[in-house]
Amino acid sequence: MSTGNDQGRRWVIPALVAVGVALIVLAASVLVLSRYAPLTTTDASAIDAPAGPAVTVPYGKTRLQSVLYVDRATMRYSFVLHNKGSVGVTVTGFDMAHGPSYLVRPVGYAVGGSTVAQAAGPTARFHSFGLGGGSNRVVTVTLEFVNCQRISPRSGTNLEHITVHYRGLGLVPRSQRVTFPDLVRIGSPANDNRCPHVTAGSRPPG
Amino acid sequence: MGRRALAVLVASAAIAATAGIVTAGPASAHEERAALFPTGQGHWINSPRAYSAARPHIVVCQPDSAQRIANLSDPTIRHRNEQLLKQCAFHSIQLAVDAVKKQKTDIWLLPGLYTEAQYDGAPKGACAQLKSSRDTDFIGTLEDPTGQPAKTSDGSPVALSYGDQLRCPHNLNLVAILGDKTPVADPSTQETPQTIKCDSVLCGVQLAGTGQSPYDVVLDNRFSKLNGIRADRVDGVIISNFTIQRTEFNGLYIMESDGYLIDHMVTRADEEYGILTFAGDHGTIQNNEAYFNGDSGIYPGAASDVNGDNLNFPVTRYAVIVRNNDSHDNNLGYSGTGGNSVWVHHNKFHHNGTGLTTDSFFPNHPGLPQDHSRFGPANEIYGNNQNYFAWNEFSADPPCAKPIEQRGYLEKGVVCPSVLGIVGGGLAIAGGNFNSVDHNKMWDNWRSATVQIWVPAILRHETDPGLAYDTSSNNHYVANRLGENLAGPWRQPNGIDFFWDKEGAGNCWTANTALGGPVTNNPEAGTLPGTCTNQGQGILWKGQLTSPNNPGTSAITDPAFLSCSQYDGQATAPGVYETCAWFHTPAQPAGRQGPAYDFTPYKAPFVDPQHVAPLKPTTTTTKPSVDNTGDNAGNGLATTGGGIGLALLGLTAIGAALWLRRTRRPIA
Repeated sequence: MSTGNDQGRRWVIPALVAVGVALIVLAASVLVLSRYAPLTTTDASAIDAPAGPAVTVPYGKTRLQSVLYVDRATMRYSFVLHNKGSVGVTVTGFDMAHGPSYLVRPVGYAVGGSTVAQAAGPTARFHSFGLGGGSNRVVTVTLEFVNCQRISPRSGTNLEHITVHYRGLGLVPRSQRVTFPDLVRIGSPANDNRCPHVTAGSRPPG
Repeated sequence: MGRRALAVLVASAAIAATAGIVTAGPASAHEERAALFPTGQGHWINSPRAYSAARPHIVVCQPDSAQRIANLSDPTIRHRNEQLLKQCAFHSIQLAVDAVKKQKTDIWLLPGLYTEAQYDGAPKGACAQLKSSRDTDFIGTLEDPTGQPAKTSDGSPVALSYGDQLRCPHNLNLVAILGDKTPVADPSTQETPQTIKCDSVLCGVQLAGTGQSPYDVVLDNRFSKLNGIRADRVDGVIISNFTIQRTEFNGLYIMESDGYLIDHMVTRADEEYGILTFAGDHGTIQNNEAYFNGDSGIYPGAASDVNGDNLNFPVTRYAVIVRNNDSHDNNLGYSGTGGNSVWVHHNKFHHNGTGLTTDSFFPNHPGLPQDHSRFGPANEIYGNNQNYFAWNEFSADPPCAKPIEQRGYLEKGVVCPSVLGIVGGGLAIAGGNFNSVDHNKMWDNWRSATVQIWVPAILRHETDPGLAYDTSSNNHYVANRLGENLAGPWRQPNGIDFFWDKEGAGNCWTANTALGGPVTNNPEAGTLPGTCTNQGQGILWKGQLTSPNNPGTSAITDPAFLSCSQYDGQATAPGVYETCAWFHTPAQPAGRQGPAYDFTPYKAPFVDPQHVAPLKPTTTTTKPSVDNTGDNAGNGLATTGGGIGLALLGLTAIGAALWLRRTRRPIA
């Protein structure tokens, strides 16, 4: 004779199996998605710097772009974001490394057309945008020069990556670190005309 | 994980994070005014002057000098000191310098521990009012004492003009010897090599210890000033036979001087350099010992560029000679940005992070790019594998995060690297031309005996694209002996013998030999060129030879240089240490014979109250701490952790179902 509890437990086992299978399928999907990195950059880029154009030299496999630091001024770095996947994404934001150990601080992101020549203007503001499979958009990062007062003139900051936040299939929020087409090098200035208010107590020597 | 364990972990993390916030960063030092080379009219000085009663001299002693003299074991030296003690006129080195009346005066320093305490305080009066100028040649013009106070209140400007050094000699220096009494008065007027000449009674002054060893006379800066002794525009200066220790920048600093001798000195426990000479000519640095220095033991940087226009390999003459020194247990045994025309021979460079470097990397050094130095013959460059980056900067509780006086420089052999280095590197030429590395012994450097890499000119802020490839050409490596420890002899190979990134023209490697096998180099470089020519190779552009062969694209993949160049001590950005291969100890080379390599920090002698003074109660000058916990290295990316977690949950559910099925009661 079965009890009421037994009747209830008839549902439990198939339910648990179903949930388990569903979770495993979901896990497999997440694992696949977590490795899905559709975003990349093309070779094109442009730099608008306050102390003259960036100097470009190949350095091994790297394209080195060197920019002179001018305290509290800003530079703009534009590159082409490319979706190499077949499914469109919606880009919702960007992040770059910053903090007291870096000579630049990102102060704005903007989106232009599909080529560097169509980069957004200096006053443009960021808005989410769709990036279809196989398509390009120019992203411009505005960076403020900061922290030379504390960073040794024998040191510098290399910009190599940007983190792109996006939604895949319009649903799942994701992030991907994208490598720039250049290594943008900013050296800490060695003299006071480009780094005022340095004192004997503010930074290591150079 | 139990609740208690979790609580401990969280608490530990909180403590660690808090510690990271509140611990002080490294003490700071300074830049320098724009420097000029002397005219080159000076003379070589080969040895210190012996005592002569007929020559002008001043004797300095300490209250306990008589007792210390009595303890000298050499009767001749003891007797001479006893005679000199009768003439003692000052207890202060600086007062003796200030009392000099005639050129070529000898200042005899009798055995004792000197602290110059009357000069180690904060600047006062007008000297506390210096401010930075925006002028790059004269930074730190003295503000009108009756005017408004300086805008910055946390110390002196980074670089004082010579005029301000003269007015305020102890803003940055414990002992100041300033030889030019007539500097250009108008800060807006450019100085020239002709205006910086020594024209005072201090020209040719000699400071010499009279003990049996350099440790008998100690100048202990106690981290109170940037420089222990600064000799600025003092042609003919001689510094001999004593110890300088514990400075925030340089133990001994000689600048814009033509003709100088540094002999039988010990410089130790300096945040930057033991011996630094800058924009000097006819300089001799010999018979010295340097250890526990955060940059280098010996630095003849921006030496007079007497071969700057020389487009052939043979030199016209040298500007600085470095010989018979022992530089060990430093971040770098020797370094020289713009170390031009320096002849380095018969020295020992060992147990440093890197043995020697000369480079064209750092801007604002006159005479760049570096050229025409000779490293050889008979330098012994060995066992440079000390990893101060891992031990002292990036360890769990890094000593270098503490205030400078708490790090234990002398007591524990702590070295806090103030600049990047190549752990396991013997000799590195980072952007140099026309250098000779010849007839040296190099062994047991676990990364490479030599490293030669191109440095793009833009990294020293040279923006002319025609000069982008103006470094790393015409260097010769000849007749060096590799991998042989002379003490055995034992075979103690280097990681490799030569590293080259293939950049540059006219470089050659020939007649080098190794014990127990062939000479080795990085395989990417292929067979190294073996033909050396005296005529410089390259394309002439604005008076410089530039490389036509390898316009960057063929350079071997960055051997870590660019990522490592972001190093900044405790302020280094997150991730740099992990990605910089140079900061990680290389594996011991196979086939190494003899005693095991000893990583134990050097145990310094004479670390006792007779030789080390008590610290001042308030000597801490710390850089504003850098809280890297605020650094945002980019948001974390989606990981596989979520997927794995879901999978585990699913498996758990299925497992639970199976368990229930197995344990359920039979249904009637």
